[in-house]
Amino acid sequence: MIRSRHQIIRFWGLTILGFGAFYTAFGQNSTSPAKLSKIDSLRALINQRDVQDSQNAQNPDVGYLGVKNQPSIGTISVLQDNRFKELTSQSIGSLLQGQAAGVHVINTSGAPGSGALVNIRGISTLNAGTTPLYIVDGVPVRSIRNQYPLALNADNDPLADINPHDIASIAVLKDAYATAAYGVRAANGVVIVNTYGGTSGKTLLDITLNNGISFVPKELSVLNADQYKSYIIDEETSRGQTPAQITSGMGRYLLLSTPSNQRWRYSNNTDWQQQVLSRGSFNDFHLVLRGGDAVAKYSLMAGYTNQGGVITGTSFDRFSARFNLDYKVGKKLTFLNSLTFIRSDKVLKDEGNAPNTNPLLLATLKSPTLTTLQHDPTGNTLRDPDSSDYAGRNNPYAIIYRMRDENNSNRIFGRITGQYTFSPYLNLRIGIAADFDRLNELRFVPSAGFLPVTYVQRYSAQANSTELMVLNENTLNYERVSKSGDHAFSAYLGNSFQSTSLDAKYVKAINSTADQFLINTNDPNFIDSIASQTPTWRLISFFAGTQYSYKSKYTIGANIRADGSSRFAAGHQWGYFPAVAVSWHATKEDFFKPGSFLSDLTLRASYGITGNDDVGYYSAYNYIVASPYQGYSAVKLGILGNPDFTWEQTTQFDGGIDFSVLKNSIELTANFYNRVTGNLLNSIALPGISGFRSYTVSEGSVRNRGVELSLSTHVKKGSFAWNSGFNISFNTNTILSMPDRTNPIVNYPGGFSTILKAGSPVGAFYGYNATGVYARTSDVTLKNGATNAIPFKGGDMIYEDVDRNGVIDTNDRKIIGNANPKFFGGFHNTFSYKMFDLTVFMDFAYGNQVYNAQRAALESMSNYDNQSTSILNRWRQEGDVSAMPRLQYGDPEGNARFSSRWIEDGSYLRFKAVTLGYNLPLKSARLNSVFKSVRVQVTGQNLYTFTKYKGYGPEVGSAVNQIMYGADYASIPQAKVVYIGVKLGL
Amino acid sequence: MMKTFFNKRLTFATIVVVSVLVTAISSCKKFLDVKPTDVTRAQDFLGDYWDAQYMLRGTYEELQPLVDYMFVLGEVQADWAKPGTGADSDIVQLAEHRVKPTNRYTNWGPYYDLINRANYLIKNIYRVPRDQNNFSLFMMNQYIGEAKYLRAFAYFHLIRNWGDVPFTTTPVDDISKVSYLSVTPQNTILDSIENDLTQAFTNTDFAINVFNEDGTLRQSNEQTRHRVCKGTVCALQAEVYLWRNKYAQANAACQAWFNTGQYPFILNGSGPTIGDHWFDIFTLGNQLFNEPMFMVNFSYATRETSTLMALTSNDPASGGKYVVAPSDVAIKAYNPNWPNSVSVTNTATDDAYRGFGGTYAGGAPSYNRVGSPNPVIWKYLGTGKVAPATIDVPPPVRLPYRSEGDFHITRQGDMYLLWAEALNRVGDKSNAISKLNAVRGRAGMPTYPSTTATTSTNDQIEDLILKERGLELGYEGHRWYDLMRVARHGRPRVLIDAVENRAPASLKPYLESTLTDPNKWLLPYNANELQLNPNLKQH
Repeated sequence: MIRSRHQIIRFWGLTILGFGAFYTAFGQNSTSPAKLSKIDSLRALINQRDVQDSQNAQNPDVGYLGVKNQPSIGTISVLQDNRFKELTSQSIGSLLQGQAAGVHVINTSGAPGSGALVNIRGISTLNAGTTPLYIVDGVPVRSIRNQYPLALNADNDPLADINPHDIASIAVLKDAYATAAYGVRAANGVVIVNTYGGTSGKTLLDITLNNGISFVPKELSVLNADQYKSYIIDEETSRGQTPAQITSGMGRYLLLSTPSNQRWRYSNNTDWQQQVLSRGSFNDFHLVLRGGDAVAKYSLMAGYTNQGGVITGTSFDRFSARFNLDYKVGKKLTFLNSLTFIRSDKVLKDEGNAPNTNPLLLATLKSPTLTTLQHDPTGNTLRDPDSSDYAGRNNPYAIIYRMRDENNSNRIFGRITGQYTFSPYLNLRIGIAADFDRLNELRFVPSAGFLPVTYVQRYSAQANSTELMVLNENTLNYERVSKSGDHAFSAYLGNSFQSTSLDAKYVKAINSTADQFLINTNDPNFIDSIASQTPTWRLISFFAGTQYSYKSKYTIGANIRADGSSRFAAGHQWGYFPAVAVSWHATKEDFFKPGSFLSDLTLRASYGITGNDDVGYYSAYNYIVASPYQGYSAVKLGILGNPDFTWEQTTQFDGGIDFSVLKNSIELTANFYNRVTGNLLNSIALPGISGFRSYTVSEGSVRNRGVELSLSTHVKKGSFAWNSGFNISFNTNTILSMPDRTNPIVNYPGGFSTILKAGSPVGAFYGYNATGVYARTSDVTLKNGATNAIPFKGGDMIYEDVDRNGVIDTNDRKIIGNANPKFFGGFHNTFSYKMFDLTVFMDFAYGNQVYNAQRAALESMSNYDNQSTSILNRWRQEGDVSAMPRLQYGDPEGNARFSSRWIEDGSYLRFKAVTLGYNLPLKSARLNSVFKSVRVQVTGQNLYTFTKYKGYGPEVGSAVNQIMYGADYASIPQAKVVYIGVKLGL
Repeated sequence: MMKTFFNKRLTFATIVVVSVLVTAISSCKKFLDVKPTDVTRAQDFLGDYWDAQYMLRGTYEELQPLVDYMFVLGEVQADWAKPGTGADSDIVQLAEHRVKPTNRYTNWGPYYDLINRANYLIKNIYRVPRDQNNFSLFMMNQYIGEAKYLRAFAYFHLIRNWGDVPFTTTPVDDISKVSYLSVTPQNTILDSIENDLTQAFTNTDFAINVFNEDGTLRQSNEQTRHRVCKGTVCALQAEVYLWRNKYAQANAACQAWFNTGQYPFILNGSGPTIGDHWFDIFTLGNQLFNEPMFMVNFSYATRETSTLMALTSNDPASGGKYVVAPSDVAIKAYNPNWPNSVSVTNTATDDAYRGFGGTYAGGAPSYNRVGSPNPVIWKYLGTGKVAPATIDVPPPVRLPYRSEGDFHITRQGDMYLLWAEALNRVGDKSNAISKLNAVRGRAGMPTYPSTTATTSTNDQIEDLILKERGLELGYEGHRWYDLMRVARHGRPRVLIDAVENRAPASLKPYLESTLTDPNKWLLPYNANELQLNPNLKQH
């Protein structure tokens, strides 16, 4: 490996020499690119886009691999704007769902403005980040979420800042050849986004207006007030209370012995889900102005989006403006500029595993006998929300109307690139780019309706984080085709400097005078905690790549990137990420006759190495951290650094075939890949005598292996046309090795567990296997724990005795599910007939399991929380045959323990989007003089989902704690949205 | 071909790129050397005397989590406390002496955290540049002495709780230093403790001096109680020597303590003119200079709070969980007529100053009610003594969740009674009685007549001292270790009877059979630790 500075210089020196030699070899006999025959490779989709969108031809971008005149040999999926224009998702990640083979997207939340988890070719990490690298118009934009949002578990996806209407195309780079050019950041894949550029000549103005509504999701069926009361009485009986004790005890809350002045509080039948859910609105306006001439091209985009969520009061507002300008200074010099400003505002609520503040979860658990607002004795509704209840549950009404969680972000990013064209073959680009993002968060938890948490009656918290990324990138690009057209050669060489600094601050003020005041101004005694985090990380990169193609038949490419990252200890900062690829375009061979059945056949293979540096900042050195004592500053050696700590490294092989028949009317692309990721970010436990608890290591490996298929068909008959794109991906993920001295069983908050050991998948559920319910006590053969202190009886769950020792204990846990689908994909159809068109877009996932934590709470039958109506069929007496166990206060037998009882099939097939559009025939001259095109459409999103899943929706997970795969704590489902859109072309 | 190769444009481009690259590479190293601003690399620390001070204070900080251990292990296993209604299974296991290796109090991590911080300071403090005014050689040695005391303190607790334990004086500042040690015999560790304490006595100061604004030094009463001085070292020496039956050396350590001249004994509880001030020991903290010798400080303002309020309070609104409660045995030792009545003046058997309203009180919300069904340990809850009453009056209780009462590691009352114990064992019974009487007198209790020295055996006097330690130092984390110390020199019944008298009758056969084996006085090694350290075997 190259380590020293001298070696680096020598390395580049040789590369430059090689570059020169190639220039010499091909320099003499070449023609200018303008005269080249068009490369008709199907896969060079970016070139197709150039053809489709010639206004933008000058500035195609799939990153460093954007070679115009050769077949593209990396595995890249390109989406044109028509594939996602109709979607109401606001984040790039969610737009990708079902669109590209190998790209698994989970919309973990239906809250407006939420993003999605994007896993390209499987989950290749245990503890590090899974977010791909996103590059928008040459700017590597901030895409990694804030790990500790004030609104618990709410998604704060920075990619929701980018208006989808601005996007002309999205390219997903998947194989090692395409991604290794991005080195240490590329192991999770690379997504390259291009926005609309200017035109030369025509001036185009497109105006889009969309208006619609999102519907209330279907409520879960929970007990009503009467059913709840009899459930509580049974619950109290199960803990040995006599009827008299029940009357004087819990009976106070069940109108059995309630004082008359308290009856208003307990005599209701409130549908809490109705209080929490509501219809949302969807308003979306967008404008694109594009124009230019031979010297300057510009595009100006402005958009405003407003989405109301299904959780009452939640909303997302975004204003975006973007200006792209390319202009020539003289003959040789071109400047490529782009500048974007986004302001977004969110009103949100807690999500996920926050049982007392996640309104959707709480609404199902809150007793229906209680009331939203207080009443006076005569029955009039008062202003104040009712207090928290006897079960310790907050008032969901107070969460919706009195608790506040608000975010706003101001973001500016852009770039200025100067391109100097030395010759038609050689140009130099020197670019600077920056991304500035300021996120402000506010949270206020009032007192009324909330249970105080320790000494905190009410609190407000504010967090401000500012992230600034600055990048300088310089590339020299060379591209040439020999005069004969037989030899095509391209190469690039460059370097970049990137520096990112985050400045995050947090303050929490408690116990202001009243709920009307967020804080008591100027009163330092009310400050509870202050925190700040200010990491800076930097990256220096050198990269080079070259590609050669002979008669477009045989293509070979190689690239390498050297990345130096400040996250690692001196001497361990540099990584090298090479990749090679070959392809054979078989149908170019002479023995293939033109016009045969097989119109195109290409075989491809690539191999290379990429890295994942999203592994934190503070693991390489010993760090002194604060440990204040007596109110004074004090410190300790707090982090035991690992000087060998490094990035996760993925080695990937990719083999592919592109195949099309019948004059390209049916096209099939198949890829096989094998990715092995090593140096996994892991933590090992240290013995207590060390003075430390854990130590961060780069050990362990995981493999993802899979097959991706994409099929597209193009049928055209007269004025009818049908274009379809179908993709399906199969991925298997297996942990190959783990460091010694790690406990393989990982318990997550909320009571579920996974196991991380060689041979298991990432995202397995590890627990007891429930096989049924004992009909009679005499059926019980197994002991409940070694001492059998609380034996199983009739009505208890039957657990599988995995180790066959007659005792059910922790050794009887096994893998009871896998959050990864066996396969997933999408099917996109566009039918057009004359001026009408119909788009039907479906997506699906099959074979993944979900831990339904909400149902685990709704069927535990162990406390005073409201329950699902399914518990009405529970086991009640000896001999009952039921899948639902008996009710037992406190669950001493462990019927509600984490078991396969809570694991459900998360497979689904969904009509994700259906659009019917009509393009007005602009026959009248008057219309024609104003409009170039007028289109109206009606779109339905998430119209219907086929699934057996019993929760709100089968898409679950946590955007913030991404390694909690497949756990559903009342995830907000994807809203069903119907909107009407008008698009005017002027 | 050559002509093209030297094409002017390409040459120009190459020069541009090469020069950019060369500049880039030469600045690479600097560019990638990012010093974080929110944490500090250990290598960048200890650059000046402030850093040294921060590191020393950060070593003391580890005493805070140890307070939980000292209180629970020192009291719950002994006779003065019993599990309250909020006790979890870990606490009940300790009280019943059937501790499992999964019990959280078998996790010795916090003791070794303190040892590692002390070891780190001892090894690295030399890096701080010395100068005569701010960080003299004396000061550096003083810091090392304090760290050695803390290391000895942690090991002394470890061997009393677990017997033989792993022993290291090498700081872990690198993964290669994480050793998977087997245990060292406790006598070897005790030798090292004695050695550390001898050096600590030499190197520490009589009191702590701090800088004034103008750079001059002044003695800080506050810091003298929060940091280790010569007197503090003597106290631990006395206890270690007593533990090892080295009575003459224990007596010498107590004498050395007295000779420091820093500790005039204030008889603040005696006499009607001075009044009932004994409880001030737990509330006045910094103002009451002479009694406290070394204590762990908590400060709610910076959210440094102890677990003591949660453990001892029965008021959920204060975060009280009522995990540990005063035992009936203890209450009757203070106030024999409880729960019917308590005396409001001191009698020969009724401890009015230290008993009800002082060491313990009625439970929330009626702290002043004698005979409350939920009596609580009052030392860490009260801001003043509670007067027994039959009507509720607003109690002088700490605000909810403000568990910031000082925890005394040692104080003069402790010291006098240790001295009495040593004197009794070296044969000086009459001086032993006089030290004992000093403590009783301070609490306003009738003193033992001087004839006690002649009429009582050494064992009987030891029993009186032990009872006095209970009354004076109740719930300060001493009790279990006091019982063990006395039991270890040939009097195991003292420990067995004490624990049995507190326990319910049904448990007595089990305790009788268990506690006759002194090895059962020790805690088992933690299950997780055994799993992580293959060289550690359960004893």
